[in-house]
Amino acid sequence: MKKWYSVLPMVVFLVFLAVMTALLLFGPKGDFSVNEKRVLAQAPDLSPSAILKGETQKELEDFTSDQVPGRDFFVGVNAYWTLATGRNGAQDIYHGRDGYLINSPKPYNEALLTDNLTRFDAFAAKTGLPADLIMVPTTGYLMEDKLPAAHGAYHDDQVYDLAAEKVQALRILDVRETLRAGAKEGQVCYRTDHHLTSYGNYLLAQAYQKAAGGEDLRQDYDDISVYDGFYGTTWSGSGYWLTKPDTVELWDSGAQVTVTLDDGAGQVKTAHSLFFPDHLEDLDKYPVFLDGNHALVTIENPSAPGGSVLVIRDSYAHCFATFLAEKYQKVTLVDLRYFRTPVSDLLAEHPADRLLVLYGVDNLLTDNNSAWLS
Amino acid sequence: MVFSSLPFLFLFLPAVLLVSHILPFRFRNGFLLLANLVFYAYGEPVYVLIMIGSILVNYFCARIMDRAEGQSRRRGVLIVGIVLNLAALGVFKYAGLFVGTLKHIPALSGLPEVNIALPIGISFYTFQAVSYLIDVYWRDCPASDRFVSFACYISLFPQLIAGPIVRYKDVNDQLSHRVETPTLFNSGARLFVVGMAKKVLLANQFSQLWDLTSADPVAAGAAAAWCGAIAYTLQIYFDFSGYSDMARGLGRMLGFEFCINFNYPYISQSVTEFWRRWHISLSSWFRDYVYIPLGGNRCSKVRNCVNILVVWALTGFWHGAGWNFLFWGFYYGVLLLIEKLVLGKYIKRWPKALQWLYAMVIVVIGWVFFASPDLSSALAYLGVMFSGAPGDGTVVLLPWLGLAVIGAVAATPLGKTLWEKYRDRNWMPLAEGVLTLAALLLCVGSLVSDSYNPFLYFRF
Repeated sequence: MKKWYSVLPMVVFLVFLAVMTALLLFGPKGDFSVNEKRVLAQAPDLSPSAILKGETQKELEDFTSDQVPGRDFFVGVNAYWTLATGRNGAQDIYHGRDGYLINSPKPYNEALLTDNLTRFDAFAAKTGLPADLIMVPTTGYLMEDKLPAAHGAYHDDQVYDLAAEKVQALRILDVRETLRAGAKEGQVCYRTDHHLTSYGNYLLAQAYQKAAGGEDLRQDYDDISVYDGFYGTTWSGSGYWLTKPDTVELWDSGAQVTVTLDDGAGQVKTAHSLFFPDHLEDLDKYPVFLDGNHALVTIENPSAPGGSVLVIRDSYAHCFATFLAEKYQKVTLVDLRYFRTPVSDLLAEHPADRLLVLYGVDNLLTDNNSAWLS
Repeated sequence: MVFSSLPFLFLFLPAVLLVSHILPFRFRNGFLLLANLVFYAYGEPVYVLIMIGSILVNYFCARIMDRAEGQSRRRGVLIVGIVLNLAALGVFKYAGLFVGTLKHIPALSGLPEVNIALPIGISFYTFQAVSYLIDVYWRDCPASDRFVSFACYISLFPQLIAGPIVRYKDVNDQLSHRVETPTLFNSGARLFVVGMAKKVLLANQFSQLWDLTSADPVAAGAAAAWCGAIAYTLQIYFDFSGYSDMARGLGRMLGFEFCINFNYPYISQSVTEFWRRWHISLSSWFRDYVYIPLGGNRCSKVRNCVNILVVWALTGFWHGAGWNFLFWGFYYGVLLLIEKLVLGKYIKRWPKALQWLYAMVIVVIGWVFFASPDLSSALAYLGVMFSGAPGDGTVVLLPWLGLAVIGAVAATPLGKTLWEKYRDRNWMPLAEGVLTLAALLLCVGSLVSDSYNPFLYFRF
């Protein structure tokens, strides 16, 4: 027997350590993780004072874990190993049937949910406008048949029940059945992202139009472009890299619009399309709708039949608003996670005929930026 | 620094292995000492001074004792040395507990708060130092006259943090002469990888289940509470024995041979057997340096019982500065006494499965005392376990079944038996190599994933 073969574990161990160390020290360093959407840690500060304070050690931990060669590969190895040993959902994302990656349920935080609902409701009452509330159900709730057998309970029904108790000024638009029925006809939720598909948003917008007494959306869109290779944020968080990608569809009504994107701090961009094709180059293509997250977005469509609507929303509205734009002369979208001026001032400046609050159920249970309303 | 971390695996370890195998032997202990200090100072930049202090005190105590004329002087030096060692342990490990407890007495409630962080590994290196002083006093081993070698022994990084408790007399020869062969290195690498897999792929995972059930045992219910306690039982074994395996593996890669610390404790068929298999280097330390000097069993029955209770109370208290640890020690002291005096002869007649079940139930209950933050939460948790209360925890448990089976099998000698049966086959090195690679990939995968944090704000 050859000598090296008899000590194969040692050979494997030493080669593995040597290759990993060499690549870590001398290989190319990443600046930004596309999957995690964050800046990666760089080589640590080696000054004696930083070492004594323990800062260097912390930075070294961050550096090695962020710059470890084959980082995404290892995350994938761990994800599939965890799955293979039965712990589906260990990283808060379920590997569901038919390629569905589904966020596990958020804990039912009744206090936060109550705060959010009462703040929205108080604001609606203050404006005196006809106001609606759309709570977009979670993928886990809508696509229950795609979940693994052992999964946590989704709280969407509880959220709807509590909302019915807590809000008066807002009219709740119950979209649970609409979307569940829609899921039998077509794909309502993305498989790799937590948002609704264009079809899902079309159903949502149609339901809104009906409730608001506005003109129906068209039945047929002549111009639907389909793009393959969409890997959403659920996919990025999951490590299940072998999941097949989604497609993203742009349903273009042909409306002549002017879109203004404002991030506060004086940075304003204008465009003449609801879609931002630059993002189709990325793995996460969802920002193709209205260029992703912005503090304040206004869409003007002078030839539309309806008046103006103010939407207080999260990212679920990116795609939804592209349908609304067809029917309203002015759609103003406020994202409280980034918008830092009083919304009442905004309303005084840009009067609206209607108010809509649109949030994903998950965000109602976790996000507390509604505090900026009061 | 812990062994199961990326900076250790990809920076510290490669550097130490490379340099220590390139350097001529006469420089190696010096280099190892430097590496030990870097390893320790990485996590405890200031507390490394305490360890250096301990090295100096013990080195010179032994030197003085070695030269002292007459038994009483030698004994005097020994007592000074032991008191200094235990004082360090008392101040840095137990002062907070003692003062905190005394503050419950109304007259002493004005005592200041004591918040001293525990220097890592102090329980281990202090016990090593005490064993060294006593061995020198007993003339079981010579007092070291090579400071660097001695300092290297006290601070030796593989066993610094979690044992095994190595005695100077066992490694004295290895400090001056080590045989390094590819075969020894190979077995060291294998043992290290096995230990890391136990720690990262099993212990770290089972900890999540215990965290889940112990956070709210009442909501989890009785069945889930049992599963949580069993998960902790597996966690602490794989954590501790994994760490010991890594230590022994690293030792072999550097030419040292350390004692076995765990010998499949969960196949035990009595409490007495469990303690012969669990944390062997600690039990034998207490046996040799406390139990036997107290008179062991060569004394009256009553005295013998007292000796046993003292030793087990101390063993419990060594594990942590909390009254629940003292209780946990007493719990075993009492159970061992019961087995020794009454139950032992009956247990042997039981079916083997029943003997095992009896031992394991006692062990699992024992870990609840050990793992809980205090006595009252331990009792509350045990209350749920024996309440038969239903709960919502069972859904959470289902996904753990696969890992639980892997853990249960890994806690038996099955793997070792198979390996010994087929070790001479031609395909064995290949199988070992493949398993080594798989374990490395999975461990690094798990360690990397701990740091994989998609920036949540963007998930909206």
